[in-house]
Amino acid sequence: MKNEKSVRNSELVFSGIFFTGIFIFFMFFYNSHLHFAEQFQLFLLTGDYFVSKLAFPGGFNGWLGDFLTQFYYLSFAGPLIIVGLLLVLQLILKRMLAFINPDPGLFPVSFLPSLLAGMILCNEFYPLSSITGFLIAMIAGLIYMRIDVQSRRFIAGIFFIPLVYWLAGGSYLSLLLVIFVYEFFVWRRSGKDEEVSKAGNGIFRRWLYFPALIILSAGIPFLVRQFLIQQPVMLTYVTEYYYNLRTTLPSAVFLLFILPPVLMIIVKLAVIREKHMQPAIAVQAGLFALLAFFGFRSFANFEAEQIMTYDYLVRNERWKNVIKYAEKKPPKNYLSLSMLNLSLAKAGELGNSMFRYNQHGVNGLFLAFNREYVTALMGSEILYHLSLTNACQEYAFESMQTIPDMGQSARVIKRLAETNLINGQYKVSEKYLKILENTLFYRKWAKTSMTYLGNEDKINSHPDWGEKRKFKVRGDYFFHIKNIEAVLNRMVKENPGNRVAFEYLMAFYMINKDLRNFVNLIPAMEKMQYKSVPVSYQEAIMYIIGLNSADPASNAPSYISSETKARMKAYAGIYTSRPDAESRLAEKYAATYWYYLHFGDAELSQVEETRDNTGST
Amino acid sequence: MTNSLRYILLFSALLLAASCGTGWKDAEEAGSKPVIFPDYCDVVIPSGIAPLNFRIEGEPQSSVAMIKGTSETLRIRGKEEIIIPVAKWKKLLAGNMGGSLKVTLYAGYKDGWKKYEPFSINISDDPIDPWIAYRLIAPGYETWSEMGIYQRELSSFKQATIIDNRLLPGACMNCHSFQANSPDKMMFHLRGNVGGTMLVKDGEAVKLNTKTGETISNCVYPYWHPSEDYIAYSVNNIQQVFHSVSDKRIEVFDSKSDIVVYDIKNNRLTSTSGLMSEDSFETFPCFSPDGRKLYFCSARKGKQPEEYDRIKYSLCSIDFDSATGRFGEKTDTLVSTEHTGRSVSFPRISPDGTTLVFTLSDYGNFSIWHREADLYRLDMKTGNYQLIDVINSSETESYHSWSSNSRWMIFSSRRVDGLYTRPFIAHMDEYGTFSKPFMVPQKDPGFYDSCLRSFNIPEFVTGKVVTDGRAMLKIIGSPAKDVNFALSD
Repeated sequence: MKNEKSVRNSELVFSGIFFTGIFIFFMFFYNSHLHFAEQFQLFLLTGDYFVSKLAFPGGFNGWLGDFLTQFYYLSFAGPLIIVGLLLVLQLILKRMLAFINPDPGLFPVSFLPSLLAGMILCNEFYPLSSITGFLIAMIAGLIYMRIDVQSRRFIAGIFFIPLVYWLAGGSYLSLLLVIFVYEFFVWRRSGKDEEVSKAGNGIFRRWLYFPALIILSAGIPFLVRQFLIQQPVMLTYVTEYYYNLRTTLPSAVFLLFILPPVLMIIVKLAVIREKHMQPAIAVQAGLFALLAFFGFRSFANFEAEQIMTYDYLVRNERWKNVIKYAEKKPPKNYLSLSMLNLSLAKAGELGNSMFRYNQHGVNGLFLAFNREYVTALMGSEILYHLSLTNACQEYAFESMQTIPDMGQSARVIKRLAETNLINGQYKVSEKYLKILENTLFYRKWAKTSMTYLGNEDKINSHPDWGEKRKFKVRGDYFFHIKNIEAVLNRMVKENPGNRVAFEYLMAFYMINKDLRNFVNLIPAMEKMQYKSVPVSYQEAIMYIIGLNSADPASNAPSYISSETKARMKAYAGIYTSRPDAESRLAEKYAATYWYYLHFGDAELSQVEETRDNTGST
Repeated sequence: MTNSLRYILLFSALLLAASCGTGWKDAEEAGSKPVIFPDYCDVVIPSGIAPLNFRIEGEPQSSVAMIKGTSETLRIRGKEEIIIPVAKWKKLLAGNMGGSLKVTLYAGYKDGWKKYEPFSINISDDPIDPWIAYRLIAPGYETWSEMGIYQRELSSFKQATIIDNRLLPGACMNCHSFQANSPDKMMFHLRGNVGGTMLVKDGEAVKLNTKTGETISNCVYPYWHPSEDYIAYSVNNIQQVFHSVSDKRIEVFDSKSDIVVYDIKNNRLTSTSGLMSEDSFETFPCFSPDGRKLYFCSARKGKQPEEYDRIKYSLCSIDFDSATGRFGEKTDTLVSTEHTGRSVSFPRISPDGTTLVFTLSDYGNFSIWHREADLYRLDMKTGNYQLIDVINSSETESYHSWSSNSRWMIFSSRRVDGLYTRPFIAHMDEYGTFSKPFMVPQKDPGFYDSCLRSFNIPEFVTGKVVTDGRAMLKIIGSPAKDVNFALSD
């Protein structure tokens, strides 16, 4: 009795640590992944949407997964939902395994599917429906095992396999394995049952039942493919909503599918003596912790999490938070760097601070579309804030077209509604807004935006859309990211007040170490009404003066601050006199433009892209 | 049945009757016709069409539609939407062929019921081909998501997949074409890893590699010869670029293009110097119904993309002898850019040979991205052409094709929202007069609002296409058969 109580307490503590850990992980270390998943789905609260999902095997599961995923919009809801699902899964597994071996000391085993499910969700290509689908199959498995009467159980099996296939999709394979393993154990146990042996009914029924299950499991998807949906064989059996890349085998999900029957076998074989109960639990807990540590380390992608965090903050226009985040997690790739540079530009800090961060050519300013959805979406943010509305629209549209599961994106549709509104294409904008009116978290925004349709004055006075209209492209040309320099030059000429475009152009030249064109833009700077000239511009100007003057400080224009002059003097002193200048300067002057000029990487002078069509007028 | 149950049922029935109400009978005259979506007011329809379900704009709380035929009247209740029962609709159409239905709408608003002026739905005696085929794809830029070629039974709402990229992940399929509207003779192109031109004749599929050393590209825009032995194609070097101003999106143009004819029996592409001129672009071929002429669009060559808005296509023709596969020597110009100042694309001749409909836009040939693109009718007897006022709109009208009896034309239009292409069907009488077109009906009137794909290349088909992607899968996966090329002159 005492032992039982202590096992129960251990289980409570174990459970508490595990689920709290999962919550903390997804809430504080992996939350941007959840926001990322939310933005690349579009869940509509309409009956038609539900019915359209039900028309496909696994569609209900897809609907359920998307229904829950939409709540990822709220930072705390995603971790709560995940914990909830994993908890239910663990409780179901616990009860299932108890049918095989009721030994309470084996409770950590029941956490293994939840652990694997948690790990799987670290990979953005596994949607939440991969877990909900599995859960549906396990619920069916538990109901099945709870049926004592063999004939009823067999009927249930025949009924559950097609039902789970249709509702949950590929996880019916897991249910099938559970049924087989369970029936094998039942058969072993009842083999000694005199009554059944005499009648011979049990054996006879099993000989009919197992082939029937196999025929159903293989045949129904086959019929679906033959008469209902044209699709590859693998997709017919695994079905959608388990992995976003339809052409790739979702290995982790298969592992999840075979885990319950394997655990059933393990607990069947495991025997823990009363006196070894506590040590056995401790060993299991230790192994579990090791598995959790290495498993999450292997599944989690913190580099991706960092990119997604930059993207999430930019999407919400939290420019200062991006800059703050960059202090803690400096950009490690073009995606993050470009989001940081955009934030600096929007915060009016690009000219002052861009060289405080490692710049790596113009690919850190602009993102080319490489037939892939993430870069396109993040690239569209830059184009949007430059007021290149059509180009932003192109990138956003292409992003949605390249979403791996061929779905739609609430974020993209929202952006398309905006670009069309800015462009005065009200009917298309209205179409997108009407779609968003059927969502939970975008409805309010859509309803408000509806009031702008056709109302020129209202749009023109909108702080964001009005600005985009003010800076809109007037003379037509064919946009291509490769021609971004020419594009920005045109924009600055057409709209001298477009400070973001101006700073991007200046940044383009500075990053390319193209000081000739940089100098040519200095007169345009006057129209920008800077209170003080940005520091990196001052540094570049001082450098140019220094090329022709032995005493640049005395020849410097009045807008060069005394700090810049003094800094240059100190920098030049080290640069010209020390053989180890690079490392010495790095300590104090790595954030200067001079340091970038002398030691920075500017090999890439053009935005790199894989597509081959070009166009300019 | 217990007394209490009876009372509950009676109460429910009363409640139902009260909620439906009879207030509509005392409705105030609206003094105008209703605004409905899709717009089915005063259209001409075939008898073999699915119910024209529609939505009443203005968000009424309830509505009643009285659809009156010669001998019976359908009364349908709804909220915003009027959903017509299929069986009753079919019966109504069958009983009123050659006549018309009078539709009176009553709509209940917060301030009371309104009765709108009735509109008519005219039912033509002319039968329509029972199926249509189209490609569904988002009106995107360079990439595509879910897409495929589908078929739809016009008398119902049934849509079936001919082939899509669910079956062939990553693949693109386009330019489907049927020989004389036959479901048994079809071709389409596949792009991607399994690329090739699929040619299906009576259940037998073959995959062709239509790129030869002598031609610019793989075969592109097709048109079957009435004899079944030839398919005319354009070969194009297609590029697309993206506009920066707010009212334009995409420009698609050819930097090179020619016309070739594929001789199916001899597996050979053939052409003539007149169709492969170095000085001009030739595209969008179309055979005459007797097969003795090949119509096409031709423009003086220009530098692309610099001169993209100065390239304008004329409508031309050249003789073709199907017995020998040879072309005439002379090229005729039917609609010259000198006269129009604009550009012709998609010539399509009615199977009875009386009418040629083409698309006219300001420049170029990819008219779907041209808001100003409209459909024009050319009288093949007189050679006169004119704008078909009744079927055009302020938005793009572009691709079009004929039913096998020449009485119906299906065409693509972006009139609903300016971006997503939708299929419309228009009736043409024996005098060449078109009637107001109707949008292909859907079970849910809101379908087109939420559909994020365009209906491309709508074509009439005389039956259901049986040889679908599944049946062709083995051939699709196998290497394509190379075709040869030979100039006919």
